Amino acid sequence: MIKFSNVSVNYPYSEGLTDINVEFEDKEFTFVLGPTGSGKSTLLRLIYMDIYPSSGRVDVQKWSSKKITARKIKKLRRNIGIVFQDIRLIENLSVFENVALPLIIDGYQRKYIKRKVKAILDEIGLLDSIRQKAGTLSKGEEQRVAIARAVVKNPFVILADEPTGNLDPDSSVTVFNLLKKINKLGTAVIMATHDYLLIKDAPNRRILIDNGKILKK
Amino acid sequence: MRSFYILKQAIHNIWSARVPVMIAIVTIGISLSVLLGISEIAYKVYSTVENIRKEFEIDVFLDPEISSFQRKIIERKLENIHQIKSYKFISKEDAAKIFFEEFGEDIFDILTYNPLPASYKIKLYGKMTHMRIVDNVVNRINKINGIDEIKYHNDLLILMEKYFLIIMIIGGSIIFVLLLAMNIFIRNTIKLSVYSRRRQIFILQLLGSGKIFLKSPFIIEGLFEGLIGGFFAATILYFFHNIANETAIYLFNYNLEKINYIWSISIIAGGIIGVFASSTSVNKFVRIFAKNDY
Repeated sequence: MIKFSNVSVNYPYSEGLTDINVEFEDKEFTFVLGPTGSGKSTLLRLIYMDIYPSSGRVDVQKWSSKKITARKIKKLRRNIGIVFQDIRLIENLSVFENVALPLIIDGYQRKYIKRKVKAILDEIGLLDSIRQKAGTLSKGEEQRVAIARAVVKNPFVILADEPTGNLDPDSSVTVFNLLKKINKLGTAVIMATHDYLLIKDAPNRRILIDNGKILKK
Repeated sequence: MRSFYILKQAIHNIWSARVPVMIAIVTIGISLSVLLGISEIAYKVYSTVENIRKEFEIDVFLDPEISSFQRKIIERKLENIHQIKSYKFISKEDAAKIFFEEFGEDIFDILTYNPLPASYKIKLYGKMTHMRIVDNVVNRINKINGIDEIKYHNDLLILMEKYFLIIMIIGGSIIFVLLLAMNIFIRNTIKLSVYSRRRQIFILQLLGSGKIFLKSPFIIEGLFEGLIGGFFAATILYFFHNIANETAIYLFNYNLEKINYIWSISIIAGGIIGVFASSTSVNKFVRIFAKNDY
């Protein structure tokens, strides 16, 4: 479970977040909606402790923003999958290596890594591109690889920050369906987006945020 | 799999920054060869000075009329001077023998009597052979009854103390500057590598990567530069030592001593410098560059 308690974030030159109180349940698919600059990314960055609240606290499972140390942040991030709008794959590495990175970091055995990565790439339909350099893929394929990297260690939550922001409509639907599929398998997904059209028929919980404040939970 | 990934990244870093890496290797090679050359010269100077100090003697000549009882008093007084390591009595007869050995002629054949005085050859402890201490010892010996004259090479001591210090200061300064230069060049290549990989480092941090995993490729890069630079330095030294040796044989018919363990010392020193410079700089530059606003 992720819990925000009276969280405010002050940025020197822009709106941060003001007095946020919200909870995200395990296995839940939640949309965080709002215009650009409304505070959606800030909300997600607080979860993976890239930034800390100016006041209040964020609790992510057993980790709290009040007490967390640099070493524990690494542990926290190893239990979270993150997907970005600008994808953030390492271009000079192959698709296999990019997906395998979280497992390599954690020191898993080569055999296990191969089996796991192949299974996931097969699942997202990119097994044929396994040896290709990440930089040679289309944006849609890159984002699918990024999602594969995010789920490879079976995290308890996937944080997707505008994952379809740079994609064409078809790729957006593919990526969105992939996230829904992951959620059905038991992983919570928190997806920040302003693509209302894409999610209009989705029955999931929506949190509307604007000017750093939650307008609707 | 971790080691394989780290090694692959290190090779990739080196390959993609091959020009700065080459410059760093050449700089390390030249600097390290000069540094080791100076160190070798400094060591030779130091050993020579130490040998001179070990061999340093004070000749104390006795009054011609001295009795054996007076000699015993002198010896007791010499034993009380704690800077003195040993003394050896040279009788008039021994002095005549030494004269014969050195000049090939018998003193009695020249003068019909032996004018050479009895003496003591005094050796000081190595650490005591400094100008001020020697003067102090000589003054104390001079006050003993029965001493006629004291001779020692104070000119040699003055020369040694003056120039040894100058050589050590100049050598030390050059070594310091060269170490600094090597450090700067390695730091710069690591800085470039970290800068060009800042996005990758940031991604790895988001994936929960630890410090060792992040920094190892850069430290391996520094180690590589250091080891190859060290090998290059040893080659330069070997080459110049050969030239110097041939010149010495041709001009003075003198064979220069071999520099021992030149390859291993140079390569190990290069490796240590490489690891030191890269590990200190990678800490700094990862902190500076690997941020969200890359």
